[in-house]
Amino acid sequence: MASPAEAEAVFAELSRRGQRIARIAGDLPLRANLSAQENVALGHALRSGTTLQTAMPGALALLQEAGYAETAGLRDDALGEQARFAVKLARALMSGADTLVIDRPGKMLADSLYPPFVRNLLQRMAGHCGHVWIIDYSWNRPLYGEWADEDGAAGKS
Amino acid sequence: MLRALNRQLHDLGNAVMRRLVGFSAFIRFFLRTFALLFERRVYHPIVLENIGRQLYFTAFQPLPVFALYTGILSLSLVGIIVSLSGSYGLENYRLSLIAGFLMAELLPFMSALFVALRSGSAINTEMALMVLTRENQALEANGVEVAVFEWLPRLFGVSLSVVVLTLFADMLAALAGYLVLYDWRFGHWQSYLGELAAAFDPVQLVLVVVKAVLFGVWIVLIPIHTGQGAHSLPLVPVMVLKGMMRVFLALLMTEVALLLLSYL
Repeated sequence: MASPAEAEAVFAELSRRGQRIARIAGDLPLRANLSAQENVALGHALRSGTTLQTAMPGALALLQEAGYAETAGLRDDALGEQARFAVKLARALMSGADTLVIDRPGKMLADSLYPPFVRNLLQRMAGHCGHVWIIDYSWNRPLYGEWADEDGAAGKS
Repeated sequence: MLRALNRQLHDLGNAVMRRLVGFSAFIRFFLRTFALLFERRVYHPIVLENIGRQLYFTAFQPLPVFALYTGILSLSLVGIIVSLSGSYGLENYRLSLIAGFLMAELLPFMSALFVALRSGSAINTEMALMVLTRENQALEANGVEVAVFEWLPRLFGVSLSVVVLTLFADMLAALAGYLVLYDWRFGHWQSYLGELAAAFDPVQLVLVVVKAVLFGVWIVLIPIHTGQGAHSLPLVPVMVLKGMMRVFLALLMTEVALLLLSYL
């Protein structure tokens, strides 16, 4: 876990070393006219030079692993906040970035006790995650409990 | 009084400069987009897929309604042309009027207006909302180039749609001309098509296609560029209004310029 100020310095350093960072944030929404599955598949399909149809099974598999396969055909406005977060996470994982940054999850999961939810989700997707950073305000630190001090898939500052 | 005049001149100068700056920004945007067409990575399977999708939504989905409007308009105008040319003893020019006025000028313009009102306004609104919701940034952050994935398929799809709808409208006008001239009697097709071909020369046909492509380019690029200027939600209707007025002006200027060119 890192505060926004600490995180900025670390990301600048990671970018300087040529590491690719994928950010999951409230201000980076899903594309409204694509389904959840298409949102996840799009970046990968464009990078690998394939059609969207070719990248769709991989996207569905990721959503399945996250436990949100039933949302595959839904668009952003039909998704609940937890499902939307899971789709954003799957999209970031499909991007093939070295480091995943979850930027102020509380803004995306306003109606949930989000640390356990994010932790469970990351544990389910542990096979695909490299380094994961969570940026949150210091006053939210107690919400994370002992997880904030652990090493592991969720990362720490 | 001098102060008031000075103020008005100042405001006028400001307004002119704002428009010139806006116009030069559009030219830069146009050239940047045009330059993309020569890059190989742009012709990605997903972009081609999206061109097909855009073509379906712009040209084929509204085809029944478009056929109805164009059919009624063509029948009415051909009726007027035939009736008036008869009154003034200009029967020999009926086909030239149908080909030169209706098929080469009015129907391409009407087709472009139809597409602009239906798809141009939607593109303008969508682009403005994409800026405000930061969908553009989200796509770029995930390695999706907005210009390639969002703009170019619209550019190709809409331009092609205007060409398709214009040629379809011209065919309907030709049919309307036959029905009115031959009083709904069939069996004179060959002579009619021969006369029509003589009145509608190949250069005119090429100009119609070029004009339709240009119309399509304005219908897409102007709304995209205008939509980028939305900085707050209440500004979206204003940006759509501005974008559509600019599209109308561009269509009109293209029509007049090509009309002058063809008669020079």
